[in-house]
Amino acid sequence: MGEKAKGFDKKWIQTYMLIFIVIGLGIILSFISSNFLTVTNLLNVVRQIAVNGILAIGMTIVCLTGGIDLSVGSIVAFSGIIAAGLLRDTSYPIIVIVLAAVAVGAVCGLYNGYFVAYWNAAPFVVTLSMMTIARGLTYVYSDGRPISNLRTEFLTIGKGSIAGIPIPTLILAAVFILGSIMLSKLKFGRYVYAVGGNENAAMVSGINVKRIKMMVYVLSGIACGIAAIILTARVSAGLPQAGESYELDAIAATVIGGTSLSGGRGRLWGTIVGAVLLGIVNNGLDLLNVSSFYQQIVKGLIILGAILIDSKRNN
Amino acid sequence: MKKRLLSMLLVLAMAASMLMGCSSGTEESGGSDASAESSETTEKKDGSYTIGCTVYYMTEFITLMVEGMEEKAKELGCDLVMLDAQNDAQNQITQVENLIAQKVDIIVVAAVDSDAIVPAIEMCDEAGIPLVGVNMLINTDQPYHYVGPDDVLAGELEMQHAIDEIGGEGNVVILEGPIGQSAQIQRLEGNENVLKKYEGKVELLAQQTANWSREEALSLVENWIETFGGKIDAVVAQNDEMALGAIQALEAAGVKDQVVVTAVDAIKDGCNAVKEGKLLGTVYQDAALEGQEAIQKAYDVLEGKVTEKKLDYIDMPWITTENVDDLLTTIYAE
Repeated sequence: MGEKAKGFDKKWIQTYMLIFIVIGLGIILSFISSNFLTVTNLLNVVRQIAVNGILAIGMTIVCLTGGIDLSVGSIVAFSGIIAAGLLRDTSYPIIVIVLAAVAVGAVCGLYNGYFVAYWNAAPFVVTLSMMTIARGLTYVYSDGRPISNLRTEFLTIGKGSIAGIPIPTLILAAVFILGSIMLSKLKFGRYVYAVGGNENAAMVSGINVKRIKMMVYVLSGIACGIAAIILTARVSAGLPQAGESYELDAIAATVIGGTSLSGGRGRLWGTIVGAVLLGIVNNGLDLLNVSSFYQQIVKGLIILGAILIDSKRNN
Repeated sequence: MKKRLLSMLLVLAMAASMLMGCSSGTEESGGSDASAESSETTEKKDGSYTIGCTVYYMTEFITLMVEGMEEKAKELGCDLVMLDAQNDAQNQITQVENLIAQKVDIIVVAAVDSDAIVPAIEMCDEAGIPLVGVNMLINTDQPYHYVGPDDVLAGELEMQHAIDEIGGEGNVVILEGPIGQSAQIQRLEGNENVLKKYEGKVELLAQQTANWSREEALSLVENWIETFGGKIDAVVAQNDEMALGAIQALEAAGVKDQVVVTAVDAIKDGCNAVKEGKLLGTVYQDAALEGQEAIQKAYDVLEGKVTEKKLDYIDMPWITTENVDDLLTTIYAE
């Protein structure tokens, strides 16, 4: 127990260090670009990170059990295209369409979770299969074409704001708060950490390991559905190629935030800060007119840095 | 504890130096050579414009187009901010937001997706920044500034020449670009426009996407040769890469002599195939010219010389053995 407490302590230190890094970067950026530290731009950043932030929250919960979800990008595309299709073909209220997109995500997640939990299949492979299936279904449903001319009230989700704060950011905040409550206040959260920490011990102590493992993928799928709504509203179209390689950004934010890919260790807080860090780097490099070739290198080095710190701490 | 603090600070320092290093790095690497670039900065007057640009992906074509843009921007004494959306429509919207935050004078967009870029028009309107589309059309009813290829014409040209070559009747197959991309939709429209004229005489045996890819086209055409035997008279490919894949498949099957292949793009490999007589012809889309015209248009809009929002198409010549050397000895010269 003592060791565990110490582990938590260290994690918090890392989270705070990350925050310092983010603030430090912010200060540096505001010196080299006069356009960085403006209200508009900061609102841009928090709007821009919403999709990745939400996906990363789902990814973190999956990673806490020692799993991984490679299908999030494709599920985003599939949920998004279904939402766009319903907006085109029906006059259902927006809330129904949002729920439909979330349900699509949840069903895809259920597929992942069922095979990972009850067939003991490797998460990497199961979610890889979902990745191509969801992408294929997206193309089948859309005939490979974007679905556009969506209702304006739906587009408000992407570009509107409440009390000056962009709606995507508010949704991200809500998902974060819900996720945090689930992980830290509910039994479910303790079970997730337990399963990731030591699956056998969790099973022996009476936890329904299979159910927990299935649930985390469903949650990740739900996160995909929510992210899909934001993305579709932001680009004002359902795109068959949407979300390509978004799983990698979600994993990056998760890892930078200090979540261990082998499970049992990590915090949503860290993930959000990881997403903010990636968002600021992306935004800052755009403002500084740094070629995207360099942007990718910078992102890779940041991920490496985070992993090195993480592995150093484990030793 | 101390060590960790140290390592964290190191990461911070590293990230910071990357940022600093990169920012000064690109200021120099914007143009083709450093000396020309520095002369540009000395020339820069207070009245010079900053043109923000986001392109879908740094393909070979876009790279050539960007070179044309840089050249023109330098000539006009404008600064160019060049961003690459890496084929991600959401990222492109993000980049437009970032360009607006940067207060550029005008934004030039080569859209990842013709539909997904629509919100950018509105964002630019709100910010009072004009927008110029390049290369990819924007799917909107409102008029907008645009410079790009006439892909419908390109599709018509390649189909017409293929049908002429087979004597006005026979069987054709079409290799399409990625379904849903504006180039694929418009080139197909052009293909079909011509096919309609030959109804009853020319039969469309098959049409499939090979996603602009040589490899995919190779296996697709191999399968078609298997399916249709010697029935295929012409392969109409919507780009050179796919045409080259088709040529490989036809050669391997020993039927290249009986089949006409046409394409669009006139990339270097495509031009070489034309010269060798393997490719009947290809439609040339001058990437550098397109980039130059886009920047010229942006400049004219800012200067108030262009006020009417309309689509400008660049010339798209048909390249055959007769004029292919013009390309091979100029832009594609070793």
